[in-house]
Amino acid sequence: MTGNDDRADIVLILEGTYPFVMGGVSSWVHQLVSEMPDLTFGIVHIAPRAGCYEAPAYEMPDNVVFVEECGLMPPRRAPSAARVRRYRDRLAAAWQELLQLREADPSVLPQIAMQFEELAADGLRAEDFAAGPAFWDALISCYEAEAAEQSFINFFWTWSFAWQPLIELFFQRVPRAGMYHTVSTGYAGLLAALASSRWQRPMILTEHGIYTKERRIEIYSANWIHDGASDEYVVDSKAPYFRQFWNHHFEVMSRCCYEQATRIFTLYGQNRDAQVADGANPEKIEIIPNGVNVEALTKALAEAPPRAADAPFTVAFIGRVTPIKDVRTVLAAMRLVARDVPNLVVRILGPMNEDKEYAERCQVFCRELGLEETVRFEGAVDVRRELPQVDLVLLTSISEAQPLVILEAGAVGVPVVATDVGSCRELLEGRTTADQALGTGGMLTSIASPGEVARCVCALYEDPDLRKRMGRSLQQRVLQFYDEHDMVDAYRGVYRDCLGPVEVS
Amino acid sequence: MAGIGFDLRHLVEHEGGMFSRLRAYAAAGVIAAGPWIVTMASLWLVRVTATWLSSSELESFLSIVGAVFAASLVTVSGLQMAVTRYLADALYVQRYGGLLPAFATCTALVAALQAVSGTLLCWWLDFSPAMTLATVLLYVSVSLSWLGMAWLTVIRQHDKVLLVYLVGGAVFLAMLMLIGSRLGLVDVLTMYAVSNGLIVVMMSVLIARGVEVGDVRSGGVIPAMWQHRVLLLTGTVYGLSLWIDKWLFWVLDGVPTIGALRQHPLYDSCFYLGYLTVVPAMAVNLVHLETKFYEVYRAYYGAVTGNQPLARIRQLGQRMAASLRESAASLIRVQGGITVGCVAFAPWIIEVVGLPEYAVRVFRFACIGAFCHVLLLIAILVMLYFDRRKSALRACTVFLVTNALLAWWSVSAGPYTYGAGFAVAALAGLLVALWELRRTFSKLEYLTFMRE
Repeated sequence: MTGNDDRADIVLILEGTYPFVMGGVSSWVHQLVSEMPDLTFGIVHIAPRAGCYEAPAYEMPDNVVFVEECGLMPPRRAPSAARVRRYRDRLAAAWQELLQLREADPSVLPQIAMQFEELAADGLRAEDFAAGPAFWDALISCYEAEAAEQSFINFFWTWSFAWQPLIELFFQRVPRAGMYHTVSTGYAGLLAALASSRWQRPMILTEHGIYTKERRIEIYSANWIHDGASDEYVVDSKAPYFRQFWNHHFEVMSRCCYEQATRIFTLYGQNRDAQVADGANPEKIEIIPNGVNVEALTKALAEAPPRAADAPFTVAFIGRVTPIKDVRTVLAAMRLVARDVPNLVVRILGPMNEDKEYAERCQVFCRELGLEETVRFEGAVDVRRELPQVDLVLLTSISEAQPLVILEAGAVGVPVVATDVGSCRELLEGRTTADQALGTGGMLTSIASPGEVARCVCALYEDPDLRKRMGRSLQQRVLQFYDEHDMVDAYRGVYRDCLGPVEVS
Repeated sequence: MAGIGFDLRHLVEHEGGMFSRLRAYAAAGVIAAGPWIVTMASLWLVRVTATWLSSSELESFLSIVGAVFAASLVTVSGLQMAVTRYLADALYVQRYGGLLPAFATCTALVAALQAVSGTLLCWWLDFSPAMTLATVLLYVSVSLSWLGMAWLTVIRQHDKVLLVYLVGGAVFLAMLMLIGSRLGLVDVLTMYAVSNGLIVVMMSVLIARGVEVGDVRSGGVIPAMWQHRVLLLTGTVYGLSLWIDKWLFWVLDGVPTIGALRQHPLYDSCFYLGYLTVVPAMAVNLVHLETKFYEVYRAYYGAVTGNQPLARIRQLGQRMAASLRESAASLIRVQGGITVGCVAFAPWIIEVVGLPEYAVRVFRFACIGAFCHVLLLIAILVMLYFDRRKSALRACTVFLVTNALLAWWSVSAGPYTYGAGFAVAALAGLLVALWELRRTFSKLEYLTFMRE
């Protein structure tokens, strides 16, 4: 623990994830915190409303010294008219700055942080901002400048709904800490940037998935752009303006975070490009991939019974049976492979209950293809135990970030045929020159191309040496670059650099 | 995937009805003006028909009826406004089930309150038991009829209101004609109370048929009254402001009629007559408000909720203001003409109705005051359309305070000034109301979207 007024060495600023919501990012954070007992952590968790999650989903490690919740849309009371009148000029001035932020100029952020500090000290509150003529004037000036033809009621709600959470964040006081670490841009990223600017402490960002990209997908599939007539969110495909509005809004938030961040981390190269496209300084970005527990996997391999010489050629699909994983392509490809490979076994390993209808359809499709003897839907299994019994792993996802299944397969020396999405190419072909020198760990296909998948699988079936070579390359790569201990060590180093030598005991 | 992104929207959805404040506040003008018209018409009806009563009996009768109307209007006006709003809201969200129980609750509440307060008042006024009974009956039934009028109006059966009063009046007249000549004051009063009771019964039947029977509980009408307390207050202040000058004249300068009850024959008759001169214009204008203005009003909110751009919303706001200006101008032309005529021919009118010559001056002030008062009333109703409750309250308060102060001053200043106080007070209230309306229209879009 540090000896000054900091409440923790590192304050993690999180949004809709650890410690309340289970998931990949949450597990990652939990691992990071658990494996650094020598550092103290504080957590500020942003939720739609404080208390909207009942209890933490993880057991808090001892080095977590506080967990604070921040609600973005707390129930509010309208300020009195007298209050609004008294603060009118100051509110108008503050709105001018906020509008500048909207111009995607993140350099005003420190100024805004300072100004809101003063406003809060003078007794202004978030609700004063969302009311009164100053709010209205800002809204109108923006409406008239860029949306004068649009539905005003939609604009009004869009605007209010966009700014209220931000104003809440500007008034949020994050405790002082040695440094700040956020694992997404968005609201958490903005709050981290504000905290860093206010306390003059370093802030780092780790982005697993790209926030703006995820929002863009949400926005394009949105059916909730507000329609006042029915008091509900309804499809508004005729109003691309509002989609742009939201995209821009989230881009501005990301930009603020990128600008303030001392260092930016992501999992793989494509993400880095996306961050640069969103305005991040490429020089700040470093790649720290996720890792797997190499030790445990190697042990599982050593303990596995040796495979019989006459064992059938076994292809495994490992993942949830859901549309995004595109199990139908696996089945269609296997129909083609089955013609050339007499003793083929296809194992579908993964939970079937996430999209039951899709899982059902896949099983029907499997019967229609006459593959019921070949393909086995086995449900969720212990992947570590099953992987050594497999010749080849298949990945047909339409979209991925950094799929752990490739790393796990690699750790036990099984080659992979994967779609060319997310970081699959990096994982199979190598990222850096040294990495590439290890050779390729499998084959890449286009998405939704059963023919290509079948050709790759057949090629690997026919050439056991190639299979072995690729398996070994992938294994080398995982051992060298994708050990989760390396990930933890990398962040330990980053923390140490940011906190300075004195503050780490 | 980390990040709550758009999860926030669920909150917004759950809070629901962010635009609930745009509920059409379709409080018909009938609510505020109806009772007043009924009061004036009734008093004249009795004066003209009950010819066999001795003149002191007639004075007593009119005095009691006047006092009952005054007291019931003052006490029920607030409730009437608040209940109207409650109903309009309930209808807007199509929550029909609780309406009948709510009506029953209000009726029981008003009946109980008025029975108790009426008895106490009569006791304080030294009425005989028989007279007390008749007066309290009348007081309760008249109060309930104001309430019923509000309900009928909101459930869009205003046309029935007139019918109900015609039937009630006819029954009263028939009773008078058949057996009236053999009866004394108490009996006539009782008959009048009974005919009013009949009106209440007819209203209740219409209301019960007009709304669905639902939940037996009262649907939170009493908490709703607290929520609409500004309206409650506005209605009460409005009712009080109409009567405060009469009451002060009764107390400070009046003559005793029956028991401790007093009246001011000169002031009262001039004002009852003066108000009759604005009844036609009032009726015509309220109809206009309900039809033509309501159209532009709906067009405006239709544009707001119908995804129109701001420019279009502004345009319709201006059209609404123009429509109001137009109808004000036509009211001023028509009613102004009538009022000027009444002022000019005041000596002749006074002679025709058999009032002494010195009433001419008071009558003239009464005509001018009544004219300003009609305009004030319409301005207040428009404010309520835009949910500007506090503006309405301010205008009513100015009217009340000025009216009280000037009436008090007028009594001491002498008969020369009688009536001038009311005219000036109504003008003052009107000016405040116009200023408030102007303010409302100057930032209409702001007020529409951002509640103060």
